[in-house]
Amino acid sequence: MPRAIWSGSISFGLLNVPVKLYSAVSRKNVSFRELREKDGSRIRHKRVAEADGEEVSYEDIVKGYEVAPEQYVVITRDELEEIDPKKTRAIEIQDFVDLDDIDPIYFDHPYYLGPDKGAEKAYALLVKAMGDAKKVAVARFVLRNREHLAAIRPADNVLTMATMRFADEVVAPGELGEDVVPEDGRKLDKREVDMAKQLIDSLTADFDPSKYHDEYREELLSLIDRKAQGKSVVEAVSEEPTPTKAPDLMAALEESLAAVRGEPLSGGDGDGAAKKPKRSTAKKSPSRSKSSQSKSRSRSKAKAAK
Amino acid sequence: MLWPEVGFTKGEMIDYYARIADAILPHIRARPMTLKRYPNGVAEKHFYEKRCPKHRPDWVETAPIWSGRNEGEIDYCVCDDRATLIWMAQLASLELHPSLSRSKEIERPTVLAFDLDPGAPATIMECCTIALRLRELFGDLGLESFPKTSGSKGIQVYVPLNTKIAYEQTKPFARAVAQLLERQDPDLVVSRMAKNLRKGKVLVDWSQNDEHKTTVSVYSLRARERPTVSTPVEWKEVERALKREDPDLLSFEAGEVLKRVKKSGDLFAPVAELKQKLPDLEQAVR
Repeated sequence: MPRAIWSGSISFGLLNVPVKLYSAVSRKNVSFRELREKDGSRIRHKRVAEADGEEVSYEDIVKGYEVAPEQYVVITRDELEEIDPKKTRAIEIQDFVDLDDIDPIYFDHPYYLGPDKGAEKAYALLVKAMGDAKKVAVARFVLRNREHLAAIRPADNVLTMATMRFADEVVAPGELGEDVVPEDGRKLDKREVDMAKQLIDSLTADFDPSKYHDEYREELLSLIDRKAQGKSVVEAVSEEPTPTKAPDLMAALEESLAAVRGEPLSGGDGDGAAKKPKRSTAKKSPSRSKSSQSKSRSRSKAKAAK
Repeated sequence: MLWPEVGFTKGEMIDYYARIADAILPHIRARPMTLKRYPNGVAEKHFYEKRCPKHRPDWVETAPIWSGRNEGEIDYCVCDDRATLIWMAQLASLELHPSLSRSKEIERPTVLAFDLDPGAPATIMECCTIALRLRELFGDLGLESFPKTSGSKGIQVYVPLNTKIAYEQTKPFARAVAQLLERQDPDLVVSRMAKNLRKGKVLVDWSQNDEHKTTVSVYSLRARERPTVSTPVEWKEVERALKREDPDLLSFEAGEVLKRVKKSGDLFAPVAELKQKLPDLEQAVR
């Protein structure tokens, strides 16, 4: 049994037909996992702050809309929730139109609508009536917090429903400019047009979708198959990896500077000295570190004086 | 009238760019340029323009740069000559924000840049202190650095590289420098962007060392009340301003900048030419 992804009811006028929604597409994309080349360890993505590289937990993330580079309007989750479309379970039919009136460019994702328990008869009635009228229903419904437009039509005794793009999402060719829209009045040679038509005629056939295959996918799957057979399979390192520390560039910079300045490492300016990691103090003898500390303190004082 | 407060006109602005061309061109040539346009003057709305306008004359060079965010290429304007510079100016592109790299090698910055931005009540005076610390730090590493005013509130320090290097190296390096400055003087320096941390401190902004970021060009006008310019200065001018506690010593308007260039030439010339190498810190860690 396929799993319904949503349930609700088609409503128009006084009619109300409880239905379930099923996807009409099973995606066949071949997806890959990312691995580190040398040992096959799985790659994990982390959300980090650009400012300091620190990991940021989900609760601490807000959404910002970039109004100008680096200038954001922050929208909170609560604010987003407030404008969420009302959670309704209705597929509300707005109009019935002819299928030919809808340019296929509007169609987005195809679904099937099946009858919910007890609604079989009402459902069959709707399928029959729409089939006889040769009409397509244009409806609105809310799926996953998003308002959708959809076209419902009967096919082989079931209802199909395709979500549709809103008119303002569809790019008119004119918006693409003259690269796409040819200039008017270009003289076409009648003989050339006839030849093109002939060519079309010679290639004309009935549409048979099973004729066309995703050849790239087939090639890719067979490559994977061959490699899997040949045992050249990389064993993933699955245990929790101990994170290797990113090199501490700041410490390295400090060391380099201390080296050229001829200072021992534990020297520090002002308050910063207190926050230094113990590591660097331990390297040097206490007496040397003390003298340098006082030295660099006086230096920092001199600098701070304005 | 683009600067209504002081009566500086669009004509005067175009005249400035036409006359500063010889000085500015070496610094913006061959780089993808982001235009910051103020069609109705500095007090009104502005917009950033990365995609070179479609109505450009056909002699304006462009460079296609891949933009991750737009999933496609953006054709940036490239300003290689005086004519293009004047054309940009007449679009009311008051501010010119070039990339730190050339379009042919977009992942290779030619400089390391620090933008020192004071958070009130800190001023350009505090920026001077930090700029001089940067000079000392880079001096100790054997590297020359060059200061310019941002033309706004702060100072920018450029370390010319002009050698084979990638943002992957310059950005972490710049960050390490900023963090070190912050740790040495946490009361005066902050290395993180967050606004609430910046009060009374100088933000050492290292994050502009990035393929997708731009920094205002040297000799670019700024959209402030007065037609101030991001002006290259000598280190001794920074020292003098700090000593006399006089921020006006580091504020220059279009006319003054033209005079300075006439008198002392392009103080930033080495930034476009000097070849320097960053020390390899990761090597040092091991």
